[in-house]
Amino acid sequence: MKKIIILLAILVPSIALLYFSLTRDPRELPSMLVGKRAPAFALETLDGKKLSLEMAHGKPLVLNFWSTWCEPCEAEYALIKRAYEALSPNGVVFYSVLYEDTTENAKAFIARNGAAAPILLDPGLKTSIDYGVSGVPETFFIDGEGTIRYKQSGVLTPDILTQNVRQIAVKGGGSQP
Amino acid sequence: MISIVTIGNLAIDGAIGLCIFGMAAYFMGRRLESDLSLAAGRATVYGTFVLMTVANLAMVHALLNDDFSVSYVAHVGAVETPRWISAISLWSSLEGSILFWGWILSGYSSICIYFYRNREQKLMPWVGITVLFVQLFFYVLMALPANPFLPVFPVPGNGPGPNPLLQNHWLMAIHPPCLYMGYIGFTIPFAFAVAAMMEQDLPGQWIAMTRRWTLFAWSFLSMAIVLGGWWSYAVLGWGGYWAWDPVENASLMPWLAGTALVHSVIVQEKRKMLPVWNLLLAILTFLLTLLGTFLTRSGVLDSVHSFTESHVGPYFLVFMAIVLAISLFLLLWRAPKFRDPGRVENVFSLEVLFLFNNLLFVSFCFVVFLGTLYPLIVEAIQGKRISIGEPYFNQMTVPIVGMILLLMGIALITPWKKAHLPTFLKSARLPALLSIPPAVLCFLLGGRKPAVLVIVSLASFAFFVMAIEVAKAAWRRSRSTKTYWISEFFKLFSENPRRYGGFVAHIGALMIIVAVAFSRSYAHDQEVTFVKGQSAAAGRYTLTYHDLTGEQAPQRFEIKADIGVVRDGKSLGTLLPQMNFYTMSREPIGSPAVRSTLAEDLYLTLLQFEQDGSKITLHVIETPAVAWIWIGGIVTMGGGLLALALGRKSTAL
Amino acid sequence: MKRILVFGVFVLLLAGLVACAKSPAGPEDRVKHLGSQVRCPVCRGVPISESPSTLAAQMMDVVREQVAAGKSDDEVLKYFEDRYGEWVLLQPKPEGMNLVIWVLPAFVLVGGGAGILMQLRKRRGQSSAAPAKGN
Repeated sequence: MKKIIILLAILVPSIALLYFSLTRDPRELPSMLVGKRAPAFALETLDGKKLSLEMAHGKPLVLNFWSTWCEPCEAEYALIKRAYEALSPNGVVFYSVLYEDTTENAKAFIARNGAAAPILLDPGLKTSIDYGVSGVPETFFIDGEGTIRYKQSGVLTPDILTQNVRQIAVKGGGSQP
Repeated sequence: MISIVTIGNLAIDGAIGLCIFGMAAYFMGRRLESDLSLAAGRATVYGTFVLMTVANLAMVHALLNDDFSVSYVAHVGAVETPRWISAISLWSSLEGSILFWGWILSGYSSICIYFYRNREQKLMPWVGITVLFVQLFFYVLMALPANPFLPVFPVPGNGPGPNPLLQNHWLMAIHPPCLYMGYIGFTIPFAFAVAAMMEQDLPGQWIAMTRRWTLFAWSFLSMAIVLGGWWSYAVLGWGGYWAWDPVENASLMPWLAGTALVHSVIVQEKRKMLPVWNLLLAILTFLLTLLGTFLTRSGVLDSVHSFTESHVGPYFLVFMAIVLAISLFLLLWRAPKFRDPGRVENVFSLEVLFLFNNLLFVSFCFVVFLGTLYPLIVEAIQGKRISIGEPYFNQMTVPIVGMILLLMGIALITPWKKAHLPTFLKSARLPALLSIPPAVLCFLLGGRKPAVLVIVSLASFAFFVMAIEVAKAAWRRSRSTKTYWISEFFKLFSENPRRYGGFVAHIGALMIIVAVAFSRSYAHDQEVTFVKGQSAAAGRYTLTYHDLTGEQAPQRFEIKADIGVVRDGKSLGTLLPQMNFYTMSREPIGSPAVRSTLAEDLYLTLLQFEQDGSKITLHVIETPAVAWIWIGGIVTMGGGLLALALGRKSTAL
Repeated sequence: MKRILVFGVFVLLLAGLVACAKSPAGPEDRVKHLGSQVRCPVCRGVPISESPSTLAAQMMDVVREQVAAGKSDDEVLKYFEDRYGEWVLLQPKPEGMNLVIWVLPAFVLVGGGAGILMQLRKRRGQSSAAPAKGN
């Protein structure tokens, strides 16, 4: 009897642990800032204007981190462009922060794909690091009071986008999309 | 003309059939004591080797001829890849590597079965069943989730080529085969352990039979781990060779258990003791190779090496559950009947030191195991992600390595059964004295860190113990045979290769340990930015940036920086750190330029450059003693293989 | 008596080696030391002090800035932990369940050693009392 207990005591937890290991994605990082205040930033855009978190206060903000060299970002760009054109008249703010890339690349990209949300430059990656960005694309959904409600690691889908815009638009400012 | 796809699949499916048939034949043969049945079992083992050879040759043929109708070739092949890289692409990605694994496993099995075909008719059937069962698992993998021979239609004109990281260096050609020779080799001692437990018979015999296999596999695994470090150093560009990455740890764990086993079997042979330890270690080593393969291939742990995400995970899980359950069952129900025929007479004796050696290596293995898997355990229980990295491993392993070093020296002058303290102290006196000068020298040359000095002293102690014994033995013989002691020195090896080959392996290990201690403690790195034509001082070197050139190679575009290296006024030539741009990958892969001498390495990586070559930034690392790690690896492997040789004095296998 | 001596030497060496896992001071050294405890989110096997990726270099700059601004070691590490999660700390926090990873191996080593010695004493006692049982 004792032997059976020992056998099971070793076998079951080991296999359970390995089984567990197969059920999750090791590369996914936890979203730490959800529910917290969005870190402040003040960045220059591609056209030389200055945009800051302050300026979006009171309005729902979709903060997207992207690059021209990341393939999924190119697909996501089209989605964001559509959302920008549909939703910013309703008061939803879209900022696209350029991550680890050059202004030349960004300009060429816009020439190819058309202009959409304002593109913010983050030269020392200070803001990206401040937001805990580890790769692109990543998108933060921030409500009117400046709280991060959701972080999407990886490409946005139309569903995820609309769902979360709805969430941040409900509280504080901005009419329903 | 039958297609490669058909040949491959037929071979794999045939192998599966043979395994099942063979296991049944062996089982019936043992039960009924039928020679015919046993012969049939043996035939299936040879048969699977033939089929695996066919399958592997077919794949290599397909790779060399860019046959993109075969799924694996479409996955890793490319027309512009140099042919030698196409050939070694066999093991560059998951499906092919499992195919290659099957070939090596079936090869090992065939040699083992053939070698013992006329002996141990009680043990060998179980050995046969075990190896066939393990083979069966891998063939099922090849047939189902990781099939390299799937047909591709329409046939593409070209493929993406192998992973750029794997094309950068010739080490890619030998590291995986070496690793597999090591990993897979441990299946044999495991099979014999299973057989010994099933037969309850001759608890000592299986040890004598497997000693050589264990040593052979161990030698290759040792070399493979060092090669892995070398590859990481030469290719990845971060200047280090070991990061306690999960995949690295996955290869280290079976090595640690395997090292314990290699030592522990000596006690069983000489004093008929520790039979259960040896069973445990043989099983543990094999289980750890499975765990290692699982961790590497299933992508469950975040690693630099995760070279694929795939669906083999669940299959591994089932197989490991079965193997673990069977091993535990056998250990709990059949192993307790093994009792030590030998007796420990005195605590201060070599057998007890070996026991402590086992404990130290198992503890070391446990630390690595815990450090690698604990984040997973935490995630399962508490749902949060944590990391365990270098700081933890260094903290925990350095003291253990120190204790192992101390034990190495002491054990070499401790006799079996009972050691007398006065005799021991007398033998210890000279090496202890001789170990002081190296430490002092180290201190004078600037190496002041206490840990390094301790390691140098302990390593010197062990080294001098061995050196003195060899010198004494050679001297004594030359006195009696009246020849030069140099020739007697070589005769020592040929008459007792086991002991002196073992010494060589230990010296290799000492080299690695000391080199690691120096290279980690005294590496110096900095980033330097150059304008074209500018010189800058970096450490003891003066580097001059001359030029930036771009060159198109068949499979990649290479940007090279021409850096002149001068030290103490003398020109040491040019180094060419480069960045390689592959069409299929966004990030360029850097090739560091390394100037390696026995004393230290100068390591340059090209970090950034302006398109017109006006400005570049280099990462410059000076690391002492790195070359000794690679040399030590070769020496260790050489010593291990040397110890395998049949000496003139030793008895038959 | 000799055993105590040997044991004592052992413990001293051990203590010496463990103590050597500590590190020095000096501003850039401190930056390096802190950097070696932060995991690179891109090249995940290595700390940001050794990673060749751009993000790692920028994170090192952030560390540099914070050290220059007078932040303590804990504050710098907390900055990254708040943003990337506990995962980004290469050294797990020695609290709660985590203590297991230090305690358990020590227990295995020391307990194992003690267990072996006790077993040997017991066996010797037995064999001197009764004839040895062969197998």
